[in-house]
Amino acid sequence: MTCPRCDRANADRRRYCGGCGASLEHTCGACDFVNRADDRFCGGCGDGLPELAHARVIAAPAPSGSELRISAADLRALLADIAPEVVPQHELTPGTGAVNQDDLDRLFGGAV
Amino acid sequence: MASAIVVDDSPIMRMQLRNLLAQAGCQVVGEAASGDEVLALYERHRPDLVTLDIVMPGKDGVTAATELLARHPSAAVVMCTSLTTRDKVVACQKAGVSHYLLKPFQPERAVAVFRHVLSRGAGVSAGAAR
Repeated sequence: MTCPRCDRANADRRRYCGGCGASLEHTCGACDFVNRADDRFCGGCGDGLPELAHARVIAAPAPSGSELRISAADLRALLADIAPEVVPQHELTPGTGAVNQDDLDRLFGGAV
Repeated sequence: MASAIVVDDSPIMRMQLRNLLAQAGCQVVGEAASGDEVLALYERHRPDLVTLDIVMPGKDGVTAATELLARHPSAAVVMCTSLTTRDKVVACQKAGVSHYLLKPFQPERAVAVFRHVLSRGAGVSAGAAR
């Protein structure tokens, strides 16, 4: 089957994509039937299947003939460039002392 | 309703997290007591949020978060731990976790963090689309 994230053709027996590691299975939220990742409707109950998150995350298509795989750290750096409002830019203050919740809220955002 | 999985080796802590997540409008759809189960549980339920303890039997929470986020970069992970050392926080930040909550929880603050993280993921995750 074709990977919904990187478009690589995979053998049907594979559970994860050989090109990017994405899951090739899609479990129905209504009946737990395990569908293929590119199925649009559940084979167990016929419900429509939501688009997989990993098929919609990567911003840029891979150049022809190559594969794109992005780490969480790279994704964070990319987001910091294109949408800095969603990635807090704070750093922990130097030191060896324990952090507290105020430090962590500043670091990760969403402080109360 | 948003969904979550809770991973913590303490049953009492899992119960507290269920209550706090419910106040944030989030239903717990799966629980585990070890980091070993995180990836399979995530891929089974595709939750909107994952809470992860750090010190657990088997795989620790930092390793579990790193592996989960390497495979599913859009996963929203909130570390829930009593560890306050900077190296743990930095390791979690590098892994790409969404937030880091300290135990014992300040309930209002924990609920606000869950709401904040869920609001950032709204419209992105599979769970939110159901």
